[in-house]
Amino acid sequence: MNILIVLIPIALGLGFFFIAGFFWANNQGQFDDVETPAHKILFDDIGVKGSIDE
Amino acid sequence: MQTKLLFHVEGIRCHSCVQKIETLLHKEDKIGSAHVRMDNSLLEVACDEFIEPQYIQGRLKKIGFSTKLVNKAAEQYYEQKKFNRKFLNKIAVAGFCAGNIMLFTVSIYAGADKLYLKYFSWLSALLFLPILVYSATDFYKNAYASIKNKYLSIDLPITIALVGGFGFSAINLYLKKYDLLYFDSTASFIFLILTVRYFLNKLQQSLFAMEDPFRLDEGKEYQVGNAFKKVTELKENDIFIVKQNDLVPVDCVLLDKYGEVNTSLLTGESYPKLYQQNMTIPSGSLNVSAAITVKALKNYEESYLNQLLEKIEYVKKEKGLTLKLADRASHYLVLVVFSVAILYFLFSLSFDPLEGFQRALALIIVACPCALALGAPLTYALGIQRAKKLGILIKNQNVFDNILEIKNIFFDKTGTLTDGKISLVKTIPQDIDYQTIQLILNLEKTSHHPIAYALRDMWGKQFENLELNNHSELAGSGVFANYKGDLYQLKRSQSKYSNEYIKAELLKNDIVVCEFYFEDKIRNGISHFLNDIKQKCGDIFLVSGDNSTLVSIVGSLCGIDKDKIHSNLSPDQKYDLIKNSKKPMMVGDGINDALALKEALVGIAVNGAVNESFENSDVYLLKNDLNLIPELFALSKNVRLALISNLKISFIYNFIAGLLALFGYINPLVAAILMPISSLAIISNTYWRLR
Repeated sequence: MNILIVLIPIALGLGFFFIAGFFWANNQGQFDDVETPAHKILFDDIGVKGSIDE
Repeated sequence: MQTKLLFHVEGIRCHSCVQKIETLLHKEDKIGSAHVRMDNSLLEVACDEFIEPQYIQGRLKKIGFSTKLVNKAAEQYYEQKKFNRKFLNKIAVAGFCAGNIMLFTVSIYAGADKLYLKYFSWLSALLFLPILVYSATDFYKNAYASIKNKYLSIDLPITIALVGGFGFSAINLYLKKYDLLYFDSTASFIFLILTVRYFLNKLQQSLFAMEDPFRLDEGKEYQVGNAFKKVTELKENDIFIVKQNDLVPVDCVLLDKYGEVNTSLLTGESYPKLYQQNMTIPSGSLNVSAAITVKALKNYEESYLNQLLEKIEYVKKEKGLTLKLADRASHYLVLVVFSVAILYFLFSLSFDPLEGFQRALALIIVACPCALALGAPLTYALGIQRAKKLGILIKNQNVFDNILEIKNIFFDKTGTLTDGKISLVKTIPQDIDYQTIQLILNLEKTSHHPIAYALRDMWGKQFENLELNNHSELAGSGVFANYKGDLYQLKRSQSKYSNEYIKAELLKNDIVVCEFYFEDKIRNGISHFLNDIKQKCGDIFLVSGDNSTLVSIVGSLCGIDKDKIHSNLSPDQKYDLIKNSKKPMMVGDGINDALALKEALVGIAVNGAVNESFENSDVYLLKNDLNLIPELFALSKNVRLALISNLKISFIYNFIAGLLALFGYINPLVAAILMPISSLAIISNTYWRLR
């Protein structure tokens, strides 16, 4: 029993931590577009300003 | 200052297009970020300093992408984005809480002993709170609106079950009756319903302007004297040049000797018309001849085109608020469930009020129209997805219900029943030798005239470059050039049958060598298609702004009854026809159809339709194929069948669960088993029906 009193708050705390992480990512717009990023992994250097040669 | 610009990019096919555009824009100093979305072909640009949209459009044009600045829809787009994010947050919270409640509740059902029981029950209640005060807020809003507007929406019983279930469970928790808590089943159905609604929402949002050759670009500039003016700034008596393939933006008078413009999208006339000096060209026509000089007769605001656009905006979409099947069913279900619950409670007052109250509440919770709330949006979402795979964009779920009620179908002619462009049907002499074909193709090499396109369609594959001298194109006299000492000219000419055909001649030193006849051909297999539709859904009408000769020819070829063919219609007359008919469906593409499309119960814009039509229709065909319409009918029938079978399942479940509740057999464990089973049955049934 005693161990549960410690473990469950930890588990829930971890859960809240992940929810907060999800909120942060979502509010940044990381889930606005779920199609294009899948293709972007094929690029070399996109998104880094000035790093691509002509 | 940071500004945001939104563009629609044409022709994004694969990741290399995305890379090209983003790479180019990221090199600009003023641009903070640029994102291309493949799912809706939108380009979002955030600029650190002010930057002219035209500048970006120009840069993109150079690498081969034409773009359109999204003005009107941009606000809506950003709002949708915000809305989606909020929604997703709510789902995340609901999912997290429901999952954890489930973990604790399973341990309780598995026989957790007294101290655990208390501990876990309180945790469940605690975890339910975020759902109650955060995730479910939209249900309360809708329920409130439904009470206010005296309209029974499905969110009302959900709200009652949710709040009632929580209140009931909380009281029992306080009274230490740990076997009467409904936190788990209520939390999981809220999570499920939210998820399904989110997907339906997303599917309905993916609609923005499509590729559109005929578009009033408000940012486009015309040279007036030494200055450049935007379309909206053009004033009376401005003299300016309209290039080939550009739009005539205001009503104006022709200053050149000849000009040829295409008014098909504005009036439905299929053939370009020849204008002579001092004739008035209506705004909204497309210049197909070489560049012409014109003088504006009116300011932009007073021009025909702008007035039509304003009228389209002004006419509201009043498609009678008929209760849809799912709404109607939930209406009855709610009434029955609540009256049974109340009657049972009143009846139980005489012997055991507390037990009676508990059973009545259990009835409301288990009979909550979970199946309905889940079934209808899921069915519509899958229907929209299926339609998209077929090549049909559906903008609003009501289409599935409305289309089954259609009694009268109206078709536009030009661009809908016909190809909307001319093609070569006859030549004199019948066979033209290879040398002449080469000459013709070389003459028309750089022209954007419809005749040039038609000739290229016919012979373009054989093209070989010839050396022509003094090659030029002149409005009204076609193209001409010298070849091996002879003067060749290819021009449009008048003919007796100018209503039916468009005629062109090739002249060698002013002597006619060959004649060509072009026609706006009827689409393949159209009469078969129309017959099919007529049997299935009702009367077919042809409404066109074109001249009566051509319209009746097309009408009879399509097998449409004579009294159902209407020609020479203005956009307003089309609108009136639709307005005065019962359960109309409109199929069209031009600006002149936009009013009618908006008014019709179901408006279908065909591929290649102009922006105005696209925006005002309910359905858009992605492929240039009218046979998608019967497929849409078939799909709608399947959707209807899926809805009905879901209703049956829901009815059977509610009947059994309701009886069990009234006889006191429902406790949280039974509810926790029964409710997911009903949801599962609905989900698998829907997938199976629309597979």
